[in-house]
Amino acid sequence: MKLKKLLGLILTGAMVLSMVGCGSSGGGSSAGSGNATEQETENEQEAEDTQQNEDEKSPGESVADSGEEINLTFWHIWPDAEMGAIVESYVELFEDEHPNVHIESVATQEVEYQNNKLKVAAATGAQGDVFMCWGGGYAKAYVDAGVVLPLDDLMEKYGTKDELLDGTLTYGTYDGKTYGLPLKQWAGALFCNEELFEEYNVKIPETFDELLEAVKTFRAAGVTPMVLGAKEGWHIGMIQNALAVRTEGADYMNRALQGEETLDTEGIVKSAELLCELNEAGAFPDGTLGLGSEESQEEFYMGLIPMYFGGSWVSSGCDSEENEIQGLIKAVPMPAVEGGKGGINSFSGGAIDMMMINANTANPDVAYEFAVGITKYMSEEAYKIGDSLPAWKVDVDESEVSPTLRQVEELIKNADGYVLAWDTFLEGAAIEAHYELLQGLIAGTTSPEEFAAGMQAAQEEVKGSEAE
Amino acid sequence: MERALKDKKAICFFVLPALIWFCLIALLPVFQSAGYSLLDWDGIGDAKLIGVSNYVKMFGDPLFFKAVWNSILLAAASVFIQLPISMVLALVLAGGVRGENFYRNAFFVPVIISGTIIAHLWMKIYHPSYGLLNIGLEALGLASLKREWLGSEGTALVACFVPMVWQYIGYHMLLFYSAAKSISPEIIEAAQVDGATRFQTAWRVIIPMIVPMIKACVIFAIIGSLKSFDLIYILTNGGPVHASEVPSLLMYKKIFISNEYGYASAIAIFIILECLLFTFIVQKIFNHIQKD
Repeated sequence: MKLKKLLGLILTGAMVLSMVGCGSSGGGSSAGSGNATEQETENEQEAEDTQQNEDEKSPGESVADSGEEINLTFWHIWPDAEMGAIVESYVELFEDEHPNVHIESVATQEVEYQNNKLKVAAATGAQGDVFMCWGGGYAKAYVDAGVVLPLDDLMEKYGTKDELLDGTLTYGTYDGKTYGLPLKQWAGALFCNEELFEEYNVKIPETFDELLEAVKTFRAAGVTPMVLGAKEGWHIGMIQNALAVRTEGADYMNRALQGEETLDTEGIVKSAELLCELNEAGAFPDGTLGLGSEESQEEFYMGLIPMYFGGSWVSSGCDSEENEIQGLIKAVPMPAVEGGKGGINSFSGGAIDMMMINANTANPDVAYEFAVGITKYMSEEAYKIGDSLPAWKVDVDESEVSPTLRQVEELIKNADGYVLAWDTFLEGAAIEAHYELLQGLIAGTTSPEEFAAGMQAAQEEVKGSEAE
Repeated sequence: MERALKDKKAICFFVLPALIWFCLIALLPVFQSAGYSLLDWDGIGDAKLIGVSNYVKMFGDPLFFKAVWNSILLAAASVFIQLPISMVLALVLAGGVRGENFYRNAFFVPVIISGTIIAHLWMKIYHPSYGLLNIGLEALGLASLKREWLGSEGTALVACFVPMVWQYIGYHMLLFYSAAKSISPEIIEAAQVDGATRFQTAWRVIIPMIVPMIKACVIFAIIGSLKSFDLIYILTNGGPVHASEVPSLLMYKKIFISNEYGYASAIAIFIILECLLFTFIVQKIFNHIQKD
């Protein structure tokens, strides 16, 4: 009888534990693989194609790149149709050129990939041979753990550096070594719907005061003036970070975010104050703290909200035939702030999206060739559809490029400085602190002074634990 | 059969494979987590043993207490709002109404829909400008009651609780319903012959007879609430300003945004112990009730 009771007890206990376990420790490891959109069927198809191509090629040719069968895995973040098709078309192209190479591409939705899948895999160096990654603070832990291949020798060997635009390697470089190939650049701009500005007789803002005035006019007319999905901290960050470029200047911000200078400065307090001023003037949608970025920007694309401060990727939505604002959008820089240290030619942005190579890959040369190829190819294609500015010296017919993106490109022609979004610069706990403090500003529970002090404290804590 | 059940060796032998499997996939990770909770580790690089510092940090973190308090509120809402509603529905259905099967299935539908989808449905309901709730209030002339349901600190938590409580009403209803149906009809007829009303039959005959099922449901409801994650993750992501934070969400953020694997493991261990503690307490209370 006792034994039975004991067994019963163990089983009950185990059941409770497993229920909890699913929610906690188990979640971590399973979450990553769960949402991956595997493209096995497609790849099987490609494998057959490759086979055919191999047969077609003359013996002389195939000797050149024959050798053993090489399998590469490629991890990326474009399960969607538009970008996914670009990836697949390059994979096919590469496999055609290299009949002995088979590439398996695995697409995962971006947030899932960034937060879960890559982190779990990189802990054991099990990510793809070539994998999409973010430079700056994000990849630092991976580089430190030695799971990313340094590319300097390979870059030297293939003369890659000459093909890249200046400054695009900055955030893929750690301790003087390069680890990432830049995929694209972005720049922040204020996208204005000219039709709405005309309808309400508002001037497109060039200074912060004009911006505030525009906000008040739109609000008084019952129009939500600016897009913001404050449920996602980074979306608030886009605006505040850009304001900080104006108030504190690009050079200082870059040093401060790297931990060389303090983040608790008057200029940064000021940037938070300006954000609060916008918020108090009713710039953002009602209930913005409960809205996600996608939900919020939808109304901009429908032509209901006149202003959206966002990255250059907003262009693709502006020019998309699915939306109702084609040809109505004017991109202008973040308005100038009187007394600020940064001029109108400093931008938020930079090259942070990278292709990296797994340090454990069996074929670094082929992986590198593929990584360079796809990076260049995507840089060009993404430029055409208005997703981002190229990081490579590309040769694209201007008429093929998204018109709104061309406007952004015009803006940055004379750019004298870039600052990345803070959340890509910062590391670990400082990112979470950044989001929290930003949301506090919008909710009115954090003062601008507390914001700056809090950012500095979080930065010190992260840098401090690293130094130990 | 009876002889087989008396043979303790046989029981051990047949339970063993499942038990070993269970230990490997359920118990072992828990102990691993306990080990991780003693580390200062970002989940990727080198780990450093720091003893119970993570627990000290956890118990000194006001945010953690807020999250735990929120989850306890949710557990209370589940037990005192969700279960009574389920019980009433179950008793009404078990008492026999027209279209019993239809209603039973209809109430069960939210249970089979994925939590993610439910969260998105409710997000649309709560949307401040075109949400069903605000539009409905306006149509009824109650525009003053319109709120930014998920976006303001005062309402976010309650706004999250409503779909969470609603979702599993059907689940508990089905359990109560099947328990009530399994009571032999003679007993209920006997009560009716004695002149008991429907309410008296339910209150004095059916409910006392399904106490074991009530106990199971209370435990399910409490544990489910303490480890709730999906709906809140999508609806508010714990916001605004942590108004709707719960422990499992906090743990998730610590692992995947802050890279504090050790600290997150400490939270995981806390959730496990908390669930065990509540299970134990509920068992004790019900043992007491059943004895009376």
